Amino acid sequence: MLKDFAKRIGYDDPLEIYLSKLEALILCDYAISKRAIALLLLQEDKDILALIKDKEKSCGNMSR
Amino acid sequence: MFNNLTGSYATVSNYPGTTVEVSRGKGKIGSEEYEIIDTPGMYSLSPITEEEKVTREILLQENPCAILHIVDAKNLERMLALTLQLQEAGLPVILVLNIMDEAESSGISIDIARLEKELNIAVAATVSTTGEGMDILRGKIEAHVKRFC
Repeated sequence: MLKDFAKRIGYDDPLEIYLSKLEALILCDYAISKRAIALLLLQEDKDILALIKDKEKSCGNMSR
Repeated sequence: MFNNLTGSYATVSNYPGTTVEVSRGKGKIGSEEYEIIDTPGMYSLSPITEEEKVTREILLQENPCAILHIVDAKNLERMLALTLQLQEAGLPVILVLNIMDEAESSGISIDIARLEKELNIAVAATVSTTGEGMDILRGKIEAHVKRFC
């Protein structure tokens, strides 16, 4: 369902570069897009950080 | 809006671990019955208040089939930022321009078809207190559900 609704909003560099790097590090699927997760991480959102720290382990992402 | 969609029966309870109230009810749209959740309002996916945190948590955990983003039609420009954030997050949003009567009284005219085209989502104009536009909204929810859920 995510693909049907995702609207890409472009940002200036270097934000886009960091977003792409963060997106590539996220392995699990979430209820919201990886891009949205990456944006929230860049805002130092503690709840999202806790969520992905916990969930990414189950997707084999042990290193970060 | 919630009462209009669900009728009179709803349960109101605190979201687990918080004092934030969330209402849940059942509503028949088309031939199907759906659970409808009324969350506290939010202005951004980056929550500031406990209420906003609960609403985001529900969006992240409940995997909703449709999200009605209900905005005051008079303040559309200010509210569209969250609509775009919800879309950017890939969430299945339908934009509801409520209190449309007051917007029109203020001289505000909104081209619904153009807004739908620009945003690429369903948009409905309503006056929930009188029920105006609710049939159109129900039709758009039904079409959305058939297409995406």
